Amino acid sequence: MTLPRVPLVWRVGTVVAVRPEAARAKTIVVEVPDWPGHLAGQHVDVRLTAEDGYQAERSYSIASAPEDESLALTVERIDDGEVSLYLCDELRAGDELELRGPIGGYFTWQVADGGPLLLLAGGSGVVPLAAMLRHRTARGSRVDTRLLLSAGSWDDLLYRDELGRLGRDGVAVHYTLTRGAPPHWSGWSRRVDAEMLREVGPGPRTQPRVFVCGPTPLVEHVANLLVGLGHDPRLVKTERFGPTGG
Amino acid sequence: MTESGYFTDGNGIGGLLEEIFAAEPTGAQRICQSCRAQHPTGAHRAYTSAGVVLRCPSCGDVAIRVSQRSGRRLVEFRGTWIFDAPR
Repeated sequence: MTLPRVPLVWRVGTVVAVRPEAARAKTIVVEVPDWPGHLAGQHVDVRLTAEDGYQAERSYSIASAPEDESLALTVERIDDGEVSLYLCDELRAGDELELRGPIGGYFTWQVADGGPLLLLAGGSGVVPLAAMLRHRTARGSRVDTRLLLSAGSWDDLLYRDELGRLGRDGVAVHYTLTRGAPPHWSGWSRRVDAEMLREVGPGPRTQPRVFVCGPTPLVEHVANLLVGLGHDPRLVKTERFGPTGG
Repeated sequence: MTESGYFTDGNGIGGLLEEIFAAEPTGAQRICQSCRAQHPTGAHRAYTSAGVVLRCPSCGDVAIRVSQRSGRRLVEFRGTWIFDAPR
């Protein structure tokens, strides 16, 4: 499926819900009039305008599946952030939110693209991958799917309960916590390395579609490891956030 | 550039590029004028300050430079750009 070409215009949506997603993240559900639909992995630009006319614009990945009724964004609160502070602390149901999208055709996956699917994320980089997983579930796909999520701590993990239920649908979910794990932690607690990627699989021979999203250093590190393991660089798609984050 | 979701690659500036190209830009391929490597625009690195510079992920040479001031936009392209878009 390709979406019909729609001019990229700013639209004013109405926030229908703002809910906590993890210790420092909120999910914002917004109704957007004439929303043209989206593909899993795409993002939107959000624009805030102050009373004096000052504008600030940021890109946020779409968390909801194309099949979902409303558009959902998950935003991580950054202490010195400009837009994320407003979105996480001030925004309320009923408020208007200006956005444009969907944007991007490179970092996208749909069931028809097939698999196996290897999803690797650091921190809030899991958001566009969650859209892919939700799309997979919504379509009843059983494509071989592995997810490795690196986060600082257990409390930082986005969509923890939802991801925990994905095992039933045949998704192998792995975590590594790099800044301290809870007692009796059975997952990894180190930076992503080649051994970890080998264990997560699937190997390069199966030619998985690979999506890597997160802070720039993590994305470059993981993409280099994957190519070193023999994955076809053309099948390794990356999306980078800022130099810090996670 | 610490705000979460504020990408630093061709995906993140996809909205700006779409304004310029009037087509989905992140899947467009670009062949670098310096190292001849071919990458999708989305895989390029983006550096944002007063303007935006997109660079080849292999060699770092400039792919596109966008400067904006007082209601005007100056866009400079380098390398070979290949778009495959519905008409």
